Amino acid sequence: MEQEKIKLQRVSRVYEIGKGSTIIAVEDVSFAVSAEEFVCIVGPSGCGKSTLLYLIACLEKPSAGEILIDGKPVTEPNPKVGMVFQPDSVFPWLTVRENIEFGPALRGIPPSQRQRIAEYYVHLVGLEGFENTLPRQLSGGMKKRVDIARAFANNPEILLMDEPFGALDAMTKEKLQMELLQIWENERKTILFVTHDLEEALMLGTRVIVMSRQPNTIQTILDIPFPHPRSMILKTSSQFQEYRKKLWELLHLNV
Amino acid sequence: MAKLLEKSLPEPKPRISQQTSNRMISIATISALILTWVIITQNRLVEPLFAPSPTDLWQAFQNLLPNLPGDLVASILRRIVPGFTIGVTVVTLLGIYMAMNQVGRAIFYPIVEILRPLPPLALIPLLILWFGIGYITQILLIAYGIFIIMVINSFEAVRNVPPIYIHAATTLGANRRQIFQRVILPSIVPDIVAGIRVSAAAAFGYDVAAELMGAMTGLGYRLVLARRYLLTQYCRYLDHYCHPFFHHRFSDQTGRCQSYELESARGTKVRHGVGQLLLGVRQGIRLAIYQKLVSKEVQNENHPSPFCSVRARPLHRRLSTSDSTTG
Repeated sequence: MEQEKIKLQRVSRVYEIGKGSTIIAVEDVSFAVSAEEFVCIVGPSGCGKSTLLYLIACLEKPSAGEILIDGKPVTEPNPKVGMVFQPDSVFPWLTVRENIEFGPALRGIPPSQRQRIAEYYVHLVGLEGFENTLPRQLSGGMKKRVDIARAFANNPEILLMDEPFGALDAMTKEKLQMELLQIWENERKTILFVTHDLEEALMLGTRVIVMSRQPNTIQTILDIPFPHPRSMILKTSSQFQEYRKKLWELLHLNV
Repeated sequence: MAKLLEKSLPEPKPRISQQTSNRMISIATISALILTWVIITQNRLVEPLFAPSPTDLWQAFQNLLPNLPGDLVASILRRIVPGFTIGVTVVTLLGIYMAMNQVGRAIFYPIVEILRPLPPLALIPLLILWFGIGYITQILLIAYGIFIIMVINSFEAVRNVPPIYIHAATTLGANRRQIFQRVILPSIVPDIVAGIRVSAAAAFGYDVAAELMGAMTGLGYRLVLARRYLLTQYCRYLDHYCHPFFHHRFSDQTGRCQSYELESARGTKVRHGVGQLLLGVRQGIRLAIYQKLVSKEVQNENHPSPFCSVRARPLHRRLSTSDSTTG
């Protein structure tokens, strides 16, 4: 049996808002992700997709249930679990290189080695020539690349991505999707990718978790059989369209 | 095709860069202001007493030049720099502490909110009472002035650090100390610098106010002195009472002031007289207060130099001696 990288057992998260009234952000969610999988989570807005990632990253604690990483319960944030956020989270006071070196610098890796890591990831996300630029001079797409490079440069085993391309234009988005796929095919991290874009989920994921709203829990888990390496042409295939239709129905007919 | 396009476009005009033209506008504005000033003063449209001409200013500058370095050093090094440093350090640390620690906020926030509306100048009497007339009081006044300007600024700066940066650093493996050093400190720098810039200007203002209380050097002291020298009768008062040292140094300026008065029109003289009267009343009140303090001190200890004793002796001693006389 394949080792379960991430395992959620009956996880719930309840927020208290004011006296007595509560919001159930995530209700009774259980699933497992094995190593080197690329799992996408789709669902209507407010269904608790992002909360799930925050729980796995241990930025929040579950109200009930247990989250296991490599078979051990999660108790504190762990550099093994990296995260790319939906809004721009590049540190504006650091240059592109310093941003990418942030994780290695925290662990006290010597500057020469850090520089090599930074150079590699700058090249990987195609930001050559911008190493010493401050983020305010970069476009939205470029900042996202820095975000992704920074997360990868910390060499996490698991990467949580919370609608990373949500705020980008369609062209940049497609380009970055292909780059992310390439990086994943090379580096083989375990990726959990939240999105509301069905095509994106099908294009990237090896599995897609479909969530429902009220109750905020898992509705279905779909295996996506398209072989890797994938390219944009996949989108035009009839099989892709079939899956797209299936996903769309799952999301819209049960709301 | 490209060539065709190139030809159809008109030749770009050689244009002065925006920056240069902006600078020229600034220079023109200042020049116009100076010109207006020269015209007004040269043609005697306004009494020289109320608007001294640029040449008068230059003259005054030259007169003050021997004292200026000393005054600047006294003001900046001895009062503003220490006061400012204390103020900024305390306020930055307190702001960060209040923003990051719930208990700290519960303790200090109400105190800050009570202190904040208190104008620093209103504290002068209390400060004099507690610390006497001297550097400590002056430095504390400046520090307090900085404090109330910057405290909310630095508190909000920490609270406004986007949580996303803290989350990002956390997922990259930063511990609490690293988050503070590498995320919170760098992200509050712009706000703190803005606060420092605002309060740096205020520090000079408070310095002048601080030097109103018994300073013997500095910019504010010189200002007070100059103001009094325009009112010639009080020059004598300052000469004799403050420091005999100043007597010869300023006597030539005294003469200048007197000649101004002779030249000025009658209306000015009347206004001048009212001003003198008001100042006289104020001086009288101040003298009365001093004399009261002094007489008490003299009663207590027969101190030969009453002003020195008020300034130099710490609060607890003064309180204990006054207690002993009443009791």
